[in-house]
Amino acid sequence: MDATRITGASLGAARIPSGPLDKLAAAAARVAGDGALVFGPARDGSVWGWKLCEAADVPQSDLWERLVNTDVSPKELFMPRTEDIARWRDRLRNLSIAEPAAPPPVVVLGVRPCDAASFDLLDEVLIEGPFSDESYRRRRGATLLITWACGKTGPACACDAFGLAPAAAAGDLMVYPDGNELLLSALTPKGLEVLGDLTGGSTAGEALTGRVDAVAAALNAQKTAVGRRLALDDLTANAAGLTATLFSSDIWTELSPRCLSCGTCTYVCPTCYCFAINDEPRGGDGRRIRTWDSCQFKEFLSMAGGHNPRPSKVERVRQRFMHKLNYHPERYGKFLCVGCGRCIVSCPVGLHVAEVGEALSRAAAAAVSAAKGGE
Amino acid sequence: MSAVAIADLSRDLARLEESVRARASELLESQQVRMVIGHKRAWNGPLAVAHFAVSPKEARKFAAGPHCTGGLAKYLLEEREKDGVVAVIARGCDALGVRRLLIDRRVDAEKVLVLGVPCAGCLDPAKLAEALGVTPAELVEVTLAAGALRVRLAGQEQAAAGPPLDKVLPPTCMACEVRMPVEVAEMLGGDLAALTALAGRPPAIDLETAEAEVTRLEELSADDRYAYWAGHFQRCLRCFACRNACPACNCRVCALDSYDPKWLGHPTEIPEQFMFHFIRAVDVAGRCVACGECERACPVGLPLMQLNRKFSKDIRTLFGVDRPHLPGEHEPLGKFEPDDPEEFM
Amino acid sequence: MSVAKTKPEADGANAAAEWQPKIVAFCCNWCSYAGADLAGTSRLQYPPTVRIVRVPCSGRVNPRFLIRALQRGADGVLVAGCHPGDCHYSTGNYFARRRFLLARRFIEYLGLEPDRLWVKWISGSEGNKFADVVREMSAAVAKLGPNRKVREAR
Ligand code: SF4
Ligand code: SF4
Ligand code: SF4
Ligand code: SF4
Ligand code: FES
Repeated sequence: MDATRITGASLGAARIPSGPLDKLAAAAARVAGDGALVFGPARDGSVWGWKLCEAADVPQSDLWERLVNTDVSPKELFMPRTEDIARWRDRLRNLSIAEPAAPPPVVVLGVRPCDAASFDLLDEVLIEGPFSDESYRRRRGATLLITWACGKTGPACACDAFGLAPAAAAGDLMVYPDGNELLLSALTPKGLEVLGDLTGGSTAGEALTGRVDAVAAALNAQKTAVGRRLALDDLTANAAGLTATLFSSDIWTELSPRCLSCGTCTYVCPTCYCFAINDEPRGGDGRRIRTWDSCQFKEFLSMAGGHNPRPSKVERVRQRFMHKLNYHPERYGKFLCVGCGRCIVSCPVGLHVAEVGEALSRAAAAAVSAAKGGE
Repeated sequence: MSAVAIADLSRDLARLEESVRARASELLESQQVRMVIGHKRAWNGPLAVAHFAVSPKEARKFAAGPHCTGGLAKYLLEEREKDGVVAVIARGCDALGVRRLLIDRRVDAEKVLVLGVPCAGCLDPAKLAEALGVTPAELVEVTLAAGALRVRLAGQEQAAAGPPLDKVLPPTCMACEVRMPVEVAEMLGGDLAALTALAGRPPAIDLETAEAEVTRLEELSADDRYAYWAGHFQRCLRCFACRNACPACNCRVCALDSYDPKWLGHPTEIPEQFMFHFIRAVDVAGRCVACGECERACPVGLPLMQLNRKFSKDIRTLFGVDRPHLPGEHEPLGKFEPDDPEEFM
Repeated sequence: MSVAKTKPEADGANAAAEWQPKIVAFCCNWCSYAGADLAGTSRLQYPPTVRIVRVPCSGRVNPRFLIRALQRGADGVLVAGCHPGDCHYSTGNYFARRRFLLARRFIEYLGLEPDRLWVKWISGSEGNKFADVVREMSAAVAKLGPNRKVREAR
């Protein structure tokens, strides 16, 4: 797939020592804007998620050597689990409606390249499409993403199978571990401003960007264990009729029975964006809220009259994976999966995007070769 | 476990796997059943996943052993409308799950054939990973060979000796009283001496130990307990894996999905999260089969069994029903005694 | 995401001084509702803290009603039914008794105050008892202060 998704162009680079990152966090917060909130990976109970960091508890750089990635994706920073669309008061007598205040600027410190790339995918759908999702757009616009290149890949990682790589350039500012130091490379003007703030205006020139390219290339050469097993090229062959063939493939009846129809895979996934809008009336007051929703839930498509177009798991499991691996690629030219591996780790019954991807690419290869044979 | 027993155990498990495959093929071949539900090795990682065989060929994939973790009873709900018998390869907890569905009249006894298998306990990947100082995702392959757990980690070519199985069992397996399943139509592997001896032993921990965490929480201050639960509940994603994995959560329309009345609001803020977990725990009180599936399924590690165990503990102390999930005991909340305690009433 | 504040707070200026608990009472149609009615027709004095919801039987009261009431602004919940042995449907209150014995322990386990839940047997002729229970319960709940732990923000 598209090589520019991996390399990116550096606007400027700098070098800082490994260790405490409070200066970097502070510089990013200044650039992000007044009242910026800094989020970083943090352990909550037995799982890793994202937490607001006070200046004192900004993680140290060695965290990214220990932690492959968080268990919960950072998408909730842009698509909160619950968000107000509007609140109303006194509906019958003196109706007043309040819209939520503008979201504060946010710095996300240390997203992995897969997650940073997931936001690019969401942007294409939610901002750049014919319809712009205002709430998402406002939050995204107020964000500064500091992306941490992966020095090692995790056992469930599969970025390379989905057109990315362990140091794929995404976000505003990339951080590459380089011995005892960190190489910073700005990908956007915002990222460059952070570098300027941090180094007092002097971002280094050619020599350092050359080093960035070398370090990035070395990291990007890493192959993931899951990725090695997948050959997804046929899925993007765009062969005529491929969608219909895959849609009616037997693999769905073979793979779906063990699914529990829980929403785990979609809720841990950084690229799933389905939501529900509901009113929560309380007497004359109330709120209209948006919450996450999942195509895997039995009731997801149930209609008022009782009809459900995806009545069984065959249709629901098919929807999830066809969307990620076929419909979205057909329309946007990229998989709607960044290979973060979260669904692989979290699905309670081990129904993996990679397992499905493998089955699907076998079905696609068969379809493509049948089509060739018929020509 | 003595060394000899462990050595025999791995041999017995291999034999058990063979007899599961053979019996399943036979039942499918003769069309006595139309489907057999069991486990097979997963595409990735050390655990097995649910497998649905409808032909003798597919029956060759069945697996048995400590890596066969996920519950199977709940899948019967999806088969209930179809004709024909479905067989389930049932560990003790699966058999209790099937029993739950039968008592709740959600499946028809005529359409189920429970094939019991003695269980050595199912490994807890989180515990095993912790014992080895790695993350669960790094466990690539776990076998019980040559007398001990052997584990291959991500990036390794060779498997290495790991901890003994009974050190890496989840609390539910350690407290399990049905490693020899009850209420089964047939028992497979009932002649395997080492396995049945192990499965027939009393649980590794007694009730009091199993409830130690409940007791600890009971002794905290009210505000600390609130902070404890609010902290866990706010992490809950509302994915409903806990409910969907639970054999006692078998309602036609779940209260948590109902729009009218709308028991559970859509906001995921603390008051609604309490409502959610209150409903789930109260509804399975006295009906929970202690399989631990809810907790196992939860992607963000909520200690849901500490809610369920609170009820089983109180049911025991208040109503004298020790093991509401075992045969012989009536539903403790579906009956009463005229002289039940009154306390605050 | 932050955990709701557990300390009672004033709703507004002076509110703390004037604050009175809100109690939702689920009263069975055949005994306790009649008892409440009798308290009224007998002009017995009791605090205006209670909002009565008439239910066919105490056995109708699902424990989740309790959390719903607390969520939506109640500070306490009273479940009132016929005395054991007197239930119009023979056994409803026996089942309710088991359920609420557990429910009260369970909310305590979740860190809520168990005294926000009361269960009382009040017959149709016990208007006095109804008034007494409301008085005692109002005082007890007033001592606990406003319910904040599971109450929705408005
Ligand atoms: S694939 Fe797994 S995580 Fe997703 S809905 Fe099915 S059981 Fe849940
Ligand atoms: S489908 Fe799975 S691997 Fe792909 S982005 Fe979503 S959670 Fe990650
Ligand atoms: S939570 Fe309650 S209503 Fe929902 S399935 Fe479980 S038992 Fe039924
Ligand atoms: S499985 Fe865990 S995260 Fe999902 S709804 Fe249940 S408690 Fe919440
Ligand atoms: S009718 Fe009063 S408690 Fe049942």
